[in-house]
Amino acid sequence: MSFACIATNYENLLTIYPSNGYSKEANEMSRIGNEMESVLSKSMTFDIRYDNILISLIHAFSESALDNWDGYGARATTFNSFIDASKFIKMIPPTFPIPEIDTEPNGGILFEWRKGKKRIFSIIIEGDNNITYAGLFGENKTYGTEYFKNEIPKTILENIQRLFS
Amino acid sequence: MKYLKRFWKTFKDYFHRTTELALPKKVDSNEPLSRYIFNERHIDVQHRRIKPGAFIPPANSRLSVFRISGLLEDIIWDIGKKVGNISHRKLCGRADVIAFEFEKRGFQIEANDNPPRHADIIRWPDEKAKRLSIAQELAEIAKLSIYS
Repeated sequence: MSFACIATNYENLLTIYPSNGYSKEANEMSRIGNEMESVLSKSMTFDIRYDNILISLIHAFSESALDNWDGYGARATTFNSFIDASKFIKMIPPTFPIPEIDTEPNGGILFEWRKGKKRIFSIIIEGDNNITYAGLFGENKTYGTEYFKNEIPKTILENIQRLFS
Repeated sequence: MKYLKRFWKTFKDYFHRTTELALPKKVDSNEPLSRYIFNERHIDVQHRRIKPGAFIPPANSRLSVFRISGLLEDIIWDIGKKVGNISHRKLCGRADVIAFEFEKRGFQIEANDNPPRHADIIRWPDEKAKRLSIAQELAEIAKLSIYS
């Protein structure tokens, strides 16, 4: 079995501690740990803004890594969601506000931008090349799905701008 | 002091029994419903608000709530703690919403009393994005109470 731990001294954002597990789960955990390390080492931007949200993402992922993490039968957050969420973070333009990270009960990662009462924009990334989004702009609302691969869809960026304009 | 303590215990025991009393099968539109929260990430403590994630239904499309009408605060929290004990989760807070807010969005509230006073919010739309949009609305109108 291997354990993925979040480093608190920031020398290594993620440290993998291997142990002597032989089970299928142990191998899978080890593989996931190595992939996380690889993704995060590529993601390190040395920009505290991005690093903080990446740390928040790792916390969210680890807190919801097992089924029923919310006490209501939620599915564990998938590793694909984590990978796509970290990809998304890296693509957020530097002039855009950084979202808060949450988890949702169907295996996805939820990003949330908020500007006061009834002004909120949220997206769910589930690792399936789609982004589910919804926005509440006072009395107006919008929602939909956008394809996500190599860049943040224009609709998503426009809605974030709309929220903060 | 001893007398007061005994009085409070008797009083509380009496109201505890009310949780077992059968409520009408049909949930009244004015009934308050509580969504217990077991994940700190679903609460924004700084701004004292619920996050939409707390209202997104799981894969079975049933959002679990409890009917808290006529219960004392202590009893409402006791129910939440018992629910948390079942899944070994720590109770963080609860989001209270009037039944009418679910009804006007086209939901049905299915009371099943299993456990006592439990109900499910059913008939969620199939479209994920619409579910997220509704969860945002519910999070905005819900009244947050933080468990301390």
